Amino acid sequence: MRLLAGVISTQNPPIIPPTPTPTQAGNPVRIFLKALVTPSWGSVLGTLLVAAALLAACVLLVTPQRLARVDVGYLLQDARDDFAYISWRAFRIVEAGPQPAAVALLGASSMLHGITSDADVAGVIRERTGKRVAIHDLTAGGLSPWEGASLMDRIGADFDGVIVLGIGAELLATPPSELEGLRRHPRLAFRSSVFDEELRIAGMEPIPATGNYFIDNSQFFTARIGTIGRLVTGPIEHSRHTDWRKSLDAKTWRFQVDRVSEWIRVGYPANAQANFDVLGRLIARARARGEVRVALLVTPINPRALAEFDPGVDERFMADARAFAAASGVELWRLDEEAALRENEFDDWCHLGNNDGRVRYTRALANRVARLGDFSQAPGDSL
Amino acid sequence: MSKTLARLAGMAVQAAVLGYLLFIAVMRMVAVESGATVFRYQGF
Repeated sequence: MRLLAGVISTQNPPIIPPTPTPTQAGNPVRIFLKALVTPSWGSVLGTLLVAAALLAACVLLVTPQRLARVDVGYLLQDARDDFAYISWRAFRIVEAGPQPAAVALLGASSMLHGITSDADVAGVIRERTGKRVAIHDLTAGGLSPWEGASLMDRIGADFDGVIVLGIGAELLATPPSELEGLRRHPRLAFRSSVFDEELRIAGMEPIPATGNYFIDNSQFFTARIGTIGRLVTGPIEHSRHTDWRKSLDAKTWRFQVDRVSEWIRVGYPANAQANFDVLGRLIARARARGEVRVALLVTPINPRALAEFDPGVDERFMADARAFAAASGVELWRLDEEAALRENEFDDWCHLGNNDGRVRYTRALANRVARLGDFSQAPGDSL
Repeated sequence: MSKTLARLAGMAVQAAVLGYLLFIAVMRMVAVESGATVFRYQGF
């Protein structure tokens, strides 16, 4: 048996580990894939370095000058990201340098939806004056007087021309709590010494700045960090008049008109003077820096809503606006009748949803701007 | 040599992907912590 066992043992070869072949363990592709999915100190270190490098790139490379040169579609969270859009436009205006004459349109959503486009405003001015005038449309839904002042501060270093400030009773009723909200959560992509000054006037302390653009405006960028994917998917288009509200049913209409009425009834007496003062300082700063002519534009209101509001509110607002315009030496425009705006052209109490109405309103506004402005220094048609 | 390069390339790609994701995660955390949001006007 022992001999037999010896025979058997010599017949079975010893167990030897298989030798890797060049097409398996030694294959560079397999090594690459293994290193790709296997944790290692090298990859951990690399991960931290990459994250730190991206952060450093943001801190060192993101500046208003560079943002002005990129397609705005890379910055927008969505097609209606108005604050990113007007911030970018302000950067572009600064980068473009001084213009012989320009028009700045500053206002909230009712003004935004009342104007077809800056190109249309420029077209009417060109028809009437024969001059090519740069139109800076800086309207945005919910734009506050303090943000308007910041925008004007940003573009105003070499600004000569016409400033149209959209106003309304609801805007002037804005309480200082909105300013406190903007202090904590800025919506524009830049800080402004004028905004800080307005904070101090309102008794609030500005948030300290580091001097680094990206860090000081980090909320703007961190809120939109998902847009980094646009580097792969490509930029999107800003849409000025995307339908954001359907026609209102009777119940919603009643709710909205009551809400606006209450907002104005409570807020206007308490806050109008302070907000007129903000506009007054905006105008004074602009005049100190350039040759400007200013108009206050009472933004469109649905005639049906105006009829349903307490008539005393509108009368008081218009009386205050006239007094402010006279004291400030600025024009006051209310163009709803001149543009023959009709109830059925509005989406709600103040937003024009109909393009025919917008076209008439834009033309009426541009005609006024053409009459007000001194565009003699602007290039003519022949250029 | 090619094996070392392949291993380093695997680690580099892993670090690039994870580093990018870490950067996005940190930015999102900063946004949540600071209350940063994109304002969308909803009217009255």
